Amino acid sequence: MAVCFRISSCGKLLAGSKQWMQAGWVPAVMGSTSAQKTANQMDRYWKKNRQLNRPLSPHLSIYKYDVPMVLSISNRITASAVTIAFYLGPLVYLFGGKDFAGYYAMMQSWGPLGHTLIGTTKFSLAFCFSYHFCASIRHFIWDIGQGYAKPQVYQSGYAMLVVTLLMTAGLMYL
Amino acid sequence: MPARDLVKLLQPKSALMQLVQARCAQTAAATQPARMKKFSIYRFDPDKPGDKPRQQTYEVDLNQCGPMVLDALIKIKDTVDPTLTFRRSCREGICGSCSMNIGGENTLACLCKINDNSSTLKVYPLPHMYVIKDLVPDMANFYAQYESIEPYLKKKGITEEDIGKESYLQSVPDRAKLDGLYECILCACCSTSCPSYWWNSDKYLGPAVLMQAYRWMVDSRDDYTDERLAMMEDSYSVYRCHTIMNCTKTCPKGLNPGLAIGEMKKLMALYDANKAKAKVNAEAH
Repeated sequence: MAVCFRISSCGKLLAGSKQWMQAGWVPAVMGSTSAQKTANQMDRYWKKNRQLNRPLSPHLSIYKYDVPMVLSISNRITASAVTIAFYLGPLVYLFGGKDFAGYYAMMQSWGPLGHTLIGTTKFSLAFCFSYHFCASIRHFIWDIGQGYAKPQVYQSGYAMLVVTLLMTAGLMYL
Repeated sequence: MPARDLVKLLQPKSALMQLVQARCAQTAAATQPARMKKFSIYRFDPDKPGDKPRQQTYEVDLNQCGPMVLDALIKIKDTVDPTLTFRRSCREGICGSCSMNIGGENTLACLCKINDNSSTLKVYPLPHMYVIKDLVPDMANFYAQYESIEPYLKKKGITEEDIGKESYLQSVPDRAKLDGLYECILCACCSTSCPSYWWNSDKYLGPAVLMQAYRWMVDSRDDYTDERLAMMEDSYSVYRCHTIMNCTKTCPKGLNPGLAIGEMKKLMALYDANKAKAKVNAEAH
């Protein structure tokens, strides 16, 4: 089958098999010959570009950062922040000596620096968790198939930010 | 005056026409002061050994130039620097040749109006693509990925004699499903705006190709929907899409690849994968 294609692609007709000229003819083996051909093309592309040492056009440094793009990468960043906190917490408990009350008292004893440290940690954890929570709900709405229109992407993004700030404020009060 | 004498007045060399031409030229020259706009354009010359990509700034008088960025590029090439290299063809936003990154966003140069404020307009080739020269990227990988999804009608149980006998009918609602999908001109603006495609352009298909894959899945005349879905069953072809939605934002034709990929993901969740895989294997043997 593959041999047949290669010969015909050179422009020579095999006796009796003019099938490749007719539109709409489906190769009996679905996928494999076209997959092979395109795999070869892609292979040649990577080899050629690497061998010629062509530069890659700039991307992160030049692309315009706007609301949907920043919201998306922030979702990933807050996800990793929450994950790190999730694993770091128990590790600190495991290898440190004190329990939560003990650590809290220790930080309070550091005076004003301790208080700001407590406040910052509390805020960043609350914000990261709330942001990731709201962004995930936005992702679930996308999974249903809703909210893909361009104005809706912006609207849901802004709504998500408002809910995030409210949720952060709520968590900070605890 | 008889008509023949009047017509003689309209001859190019007549005194009347000379006067009219002189007045028009005066008006044009005296009307507006020059409106200069700076363009900072990405340059790279592969024929110069050891050449590094750089930005070169050109100044164009917008009063002597058409309204679109492509007009400015052509004017620069014609009057200032003939070595400036870029792809272009239809100049009306239908061929997809002049796709590039203008002012940070991927769009077609022939459809992008020049913003006549005082800031420099930055022009780059499509992001994260190998550059052949100046604003010309290597599109071979993009085209190979498009070919790999088999973007043509496939029907079951037809023979050579059946082809061309009668048209494959389609109801109005079924045809409406293709609206917003078939208009894609394969300019690659969306795929090259996707950060996921930047990092995985070898295995992730990208929004343009995925939207066309969906276009064939959802075409009622095509019989191979399940097999097309089965082709996407790996962790890279579709599922590198994280709904960043840069594609929809940047499409110069106003299409929505993000929506198409979302609908395709829904199809992939709901179709019978095992039956489809069995069908593919049956065809292969």
